[in-house]
Amino acid sequence: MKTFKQLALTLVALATALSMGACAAGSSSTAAGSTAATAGSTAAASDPASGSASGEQTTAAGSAAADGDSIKIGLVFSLTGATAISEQCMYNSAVLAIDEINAAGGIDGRQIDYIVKDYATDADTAVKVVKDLILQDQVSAIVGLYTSASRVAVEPVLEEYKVPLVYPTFYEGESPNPYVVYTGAVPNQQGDYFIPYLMDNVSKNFYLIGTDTTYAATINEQAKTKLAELGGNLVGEELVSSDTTDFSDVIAKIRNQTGDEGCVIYANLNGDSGTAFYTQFHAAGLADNYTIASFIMDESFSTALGEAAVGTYACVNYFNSIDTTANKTYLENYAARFGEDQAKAVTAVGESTYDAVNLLAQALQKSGSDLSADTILANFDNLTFDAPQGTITVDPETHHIYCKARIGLVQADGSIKVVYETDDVIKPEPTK
Amino acid sequence: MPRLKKVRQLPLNRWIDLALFLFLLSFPTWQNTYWVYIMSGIMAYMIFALSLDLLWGYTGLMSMGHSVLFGSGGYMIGIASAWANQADWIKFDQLPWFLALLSSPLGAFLAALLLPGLIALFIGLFMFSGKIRGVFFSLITLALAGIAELFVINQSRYTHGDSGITVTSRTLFSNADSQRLTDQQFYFVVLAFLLGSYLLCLWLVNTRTGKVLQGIRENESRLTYLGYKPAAFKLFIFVLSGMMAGLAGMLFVRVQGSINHSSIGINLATLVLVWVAVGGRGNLTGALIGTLLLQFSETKLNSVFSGISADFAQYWKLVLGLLLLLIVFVIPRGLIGVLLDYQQSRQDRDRKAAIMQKEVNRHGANP
Repeated sequence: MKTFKQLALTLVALATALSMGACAAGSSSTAAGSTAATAGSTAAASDPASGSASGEQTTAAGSAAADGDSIKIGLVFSLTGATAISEQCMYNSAVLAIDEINAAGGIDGRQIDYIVKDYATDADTAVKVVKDLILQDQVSAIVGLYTSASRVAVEPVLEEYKVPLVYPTFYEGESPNPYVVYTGAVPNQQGDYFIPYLMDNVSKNFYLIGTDTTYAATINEQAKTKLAELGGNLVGEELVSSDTTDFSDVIAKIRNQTGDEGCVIYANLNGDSGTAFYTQFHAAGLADNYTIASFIMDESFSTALGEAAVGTYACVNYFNSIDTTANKTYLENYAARFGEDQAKAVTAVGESTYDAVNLLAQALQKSGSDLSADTILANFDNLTFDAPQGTITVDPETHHIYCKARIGLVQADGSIKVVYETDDVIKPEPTK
Repeated sequence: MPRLKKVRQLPLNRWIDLALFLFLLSFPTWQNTYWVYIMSGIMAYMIFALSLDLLWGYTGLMSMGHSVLFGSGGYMIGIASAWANQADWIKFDQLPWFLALLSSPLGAFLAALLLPGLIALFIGLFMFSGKIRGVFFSLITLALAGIAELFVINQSRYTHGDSGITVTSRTLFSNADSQRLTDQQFYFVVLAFLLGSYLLCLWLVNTRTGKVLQGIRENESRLTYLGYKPAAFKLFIFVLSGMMAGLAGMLFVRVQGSINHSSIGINLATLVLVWVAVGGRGNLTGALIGTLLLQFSETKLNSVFSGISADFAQYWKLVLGLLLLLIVFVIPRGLIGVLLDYQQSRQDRDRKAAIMQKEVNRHGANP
């Protein structure tokens, strides 16, 4: 009898948990409706609880959707997981761009319908959700992904089912996949300008430190070549594992090896590791002689770090302090939608996601009624967009973008001031 | 009617197994490609869970780093495939001697089975001859999983570091890019291997060897007094279980189309423990059902929750987590374990009643 009792208890427990889930699901629909940021067309058709949210969406979308014809695209971001903080801005920007396009009448009268999937910073999950989008939701294109591992993992799926992906993250470069359009910067659009600038303005001595990833390793290799070419001085190099958060020995080593001369610390550290390094370095009080320079630094990072980030350098194709009309509009709309605080933490990946959606919309428009991958991809060739960062163009050979390189200096209020930018846009060379 | 009686006394869980396999067999006929693909992945994980059940459920060796064996099998196929297609990150002109086997498809298949076996043999030799058991075995294997993950990230020359490797071929014996069975066809390949693994396990645990293994779990010292050498048996099962895990890893990589460090690390090692614990260990069915239930609900809940609203996406983990906690607290023996206990207690009661009846009859005859 005892075991029977246990069995019954389990069943009750199961039922409770399930109903809890259902209740929570019910209450969420109101939340989704009120923030309006979300839901919209994402409302799962299978879930009656979300009916109110989707209802609201149709009214908001206006009459343009009246002809009932819409284009489905998938958005894949880590809404949970280790990189969720970086990807929040990407997700927001994608939604913002889609809503702007829909409000302006959609793509030749067709509304963009989007479906959001969470891949939780896990490459296997990324494959699952991308297959879900392609096979079940039958999307015409996908925008998203942040980590290189997830991009590499989904590439065979894109090839097999012939669906284009617009990948908005700056990354280490690869021989371009025919089904991917890349709207982030590649190393030749960053490091080639960063190293000379730092040598002229800060110090000729460099200490390279990075998380042991393909990304940091590529950047360090590039830095070494550049230093050798320009007569810089490589003091030391350190690759640490991605979960390193104690840098006391590394900092001591840097101090010992450079003496009083000081140097540039070229630090490309991921996530928590980066935070720990900046904080501990700041606490060590070495800022007079040493300057940190990093590709990883951006507005969300500098705001989070506070004082520890002030006076360090960053290098990417976009900072939200850029003074263009397109950028002002973008930030104003972003602030109106997600709040003033969120707008301060708009980063380069967020901006390139915004560009990604807009470029995709242009390509879809050119494709007309033929939404096959080959047509959409071919229509990306030579597209230009007046982006917040300035005008960008898609290179027809590599499907990467022409963009400017910019170097920024973190200010006391956490914003990043542009201290250098190239005169012209730079040709992307992802395999260099 | 002795045969019928035997069928009736068959443990409840064998019927569940039968039902499960019938369900899996019919699955592709009424499901779309997406779910066929999801289920193929789940079946590969089921083989993995079975291999852990042999080790943990039957022999009492709780390996907290079983993913090392799963991942090393998968990585063999990954590297072989990258080499066969000359992926652009490959910087060497020739496979090094320790990977030479990977140049032929059959060699890669064998390597995916043998390497995990060898790793298990090597670790097992040290641990079992050193009489390391219980929690120390668990801790050492846990550390191994952590080391293995760092190792593949650091050896980016052969593993493409943290980005992982794509495997575009979806056949058992080919690594060429263009060779690709459909999701449905490959589903049945995985199913065949699952059935084979299951039958192998079922046969093994009912042999004398299987009984010795269970003896090790129950009381290792007593077994030693009886003249058995537990170390040899433990080594045998560890190697076998490792090869099965390697097989699972190999199939999983083919289904998934890629492999990365998360498949060899602590995360997966803990997941598989949870599947087996929830299903119930030491009866094979538990491993199968636990994996199916948890993997299926993970996929389903994720899609339902992020379908409702992006702000809400993270909460499915909370629901699943609560459920797992409840199961572990309320029924530590697992779902199938409870069922079996229930059947056992009923059979015991019937037997007791029968004996009592006999007694009563005898006494009734002689007042």
